[in-house]
Amino acid sequence: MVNVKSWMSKNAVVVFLLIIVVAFSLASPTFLTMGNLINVTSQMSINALLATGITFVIITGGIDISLGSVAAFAGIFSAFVGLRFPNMSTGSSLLIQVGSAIVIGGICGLFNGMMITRFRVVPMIATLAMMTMARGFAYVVTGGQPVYGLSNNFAWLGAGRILPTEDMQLGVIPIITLFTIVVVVLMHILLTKTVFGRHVYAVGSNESVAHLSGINVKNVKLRVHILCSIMAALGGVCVASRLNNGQPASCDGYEMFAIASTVLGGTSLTGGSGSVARAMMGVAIIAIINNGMNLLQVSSYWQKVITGLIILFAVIVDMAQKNQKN
Amino acid sequence: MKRKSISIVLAAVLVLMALAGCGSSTPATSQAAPASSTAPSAASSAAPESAADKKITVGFIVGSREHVFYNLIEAAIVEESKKLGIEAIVYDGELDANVQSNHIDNLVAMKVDAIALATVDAAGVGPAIDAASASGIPCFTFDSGYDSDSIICHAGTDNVEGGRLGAQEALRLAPKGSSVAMIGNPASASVLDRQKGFEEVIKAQTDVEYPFFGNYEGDANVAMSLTQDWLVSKPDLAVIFCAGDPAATGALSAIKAAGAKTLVVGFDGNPEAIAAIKDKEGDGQWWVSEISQNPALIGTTITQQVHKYLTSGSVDAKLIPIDPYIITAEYIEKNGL
Repeated sequence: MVNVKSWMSKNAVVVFLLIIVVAFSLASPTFLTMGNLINVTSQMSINALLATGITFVIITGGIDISLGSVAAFAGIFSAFVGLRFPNMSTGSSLLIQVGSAIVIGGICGLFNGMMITRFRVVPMIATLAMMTMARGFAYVVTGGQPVYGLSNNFAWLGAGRILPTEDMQLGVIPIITLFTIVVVVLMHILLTKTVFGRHVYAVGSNESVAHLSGINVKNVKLRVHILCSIMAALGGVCVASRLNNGQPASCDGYEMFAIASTVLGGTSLTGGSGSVARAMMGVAIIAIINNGMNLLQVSSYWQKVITGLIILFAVIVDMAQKNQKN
Repeated sequence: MKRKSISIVLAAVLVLMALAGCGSSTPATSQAAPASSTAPSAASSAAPESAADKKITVGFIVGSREHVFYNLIEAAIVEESKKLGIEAIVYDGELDANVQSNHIDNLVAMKVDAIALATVDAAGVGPAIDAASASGIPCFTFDSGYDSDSIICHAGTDNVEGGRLGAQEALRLAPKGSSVAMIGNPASASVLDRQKGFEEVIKAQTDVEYPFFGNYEGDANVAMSLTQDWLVSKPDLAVIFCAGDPAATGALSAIKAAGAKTLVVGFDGNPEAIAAIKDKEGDGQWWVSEISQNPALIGTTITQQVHKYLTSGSVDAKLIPIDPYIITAEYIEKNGL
């Protein structure tokens, strides 16, 4: 009994997630169906990628608000490149998408990191500049028009499924879900099992101590920003692939959902602590709230209010637990 | 040392990129369009005062350069201005009444001959329009208006009528006893009008049900998630009326991914909609109909009216409705779009 109690107090977020799931399954008969839960995993994917990237930045004590714009720019860019290959196979479309994400994300992240480490611009301002620039480039590339007319294979990553069954001819498991799981697990390993991961925590806990113990702080920060932008760009190409269309206005404000998810998962904005796995809890909570409210036909105005309140509530509960421990 | 040179090279590359970006920005106007920025931008290099040859100078403010619809209006304005010999200065309203008011003040200071704008929020931008009008500059509106004596002429779509057309199309496509849904965006006045028109017709009949309305917030990805969620509850949803082409793009992706037979009626008449409806073997199986606003005609009409007023002192009418129309595969074939 004591064990259960202490587990619950340590994992308030998990308990909270379970409560939401139970509440929605009672309120809506469709919520717990296989089809819906699988949809939720595909809807979560984009935010999961973004939240994973920003978790690294937040652990070092930084912030990046350019995620949504970088995602949109990378998505547009991949669609733009994809348009040049009308007969592409699924393999080459995947190559174009991941390649675009690495190139665009790499450039944007390098720029952010350089501004922050070499020119000593405050992270909030450096990434604010990138936020407006990347969005601008997304419009420059397209002249404000969506990029359409892509081959159906371009949609394989975002909308494709595998394992067809009797009643689901197109397949059951979304490829985007599998892709996201693989990427997120790799990132989790990078953060928990490598020297680089330990350096990320060290820089976030105490920069000067990290510096004195021989860690190249600037280098760690630069890499973290590059990583974060590449993850955002991956999210962006997934959106473009999901829609089979490059929308210059897409992913607007997604950085806020990513930051909220990470904080929901218990990562502190002051840096030094946090984990990718916990951020995923936050991602799941936000996705399930949106999905459940869509099923229940809650008006979109109230959805916003409720989402905000739940984020606050979860963080307050989490803080209370931490204070008890101390 | 090496580090330093790297950052210098990087800075140089970025400056070059920025310059390249400025060179290939949005559709060029008949003169260099002022760069859009949140701060009121300085007048472009070619100040209208220098036009000693008495060329008519007109300031146009579109709702937003980040909207395909407005970009199409702008293209038509620029083209028609060239034809009529008008010096057109086009500003980006950035969907912000404040930004629009600043642009109006700038245009007044530049002493342009007339101002035409698509109001983002009539109440918010109204005072600036009234002030411009009081200072002797004739004001016009297009797409979204401002109900005041300051306005000489308004040319725009009746969005409520557009919504009614959408409902008629949905009822034509949906079998008796089935259900239809709508994706809209209550944050936008014109999209809200479409919802009004649609719901007025749908709620006045009993043949089909109307279980779902969703707000996609202008984000195609949100429209896709909404449609996914609805299709889980109602796999046999017959028609979705999307009050904007990005919403239709999202809905279409969800329908295709779910292997559903739901049909899409879009709204805007953007190129991607025409391409989808044309593609009968592909996307045209689902996206079958489109309510089109005719942005090009809105742009052309308002430019002509401004020109007419400045040259003859009168306009055709204070209110010129640009009727929405329905685009289907047959329509495209007949008109060779």
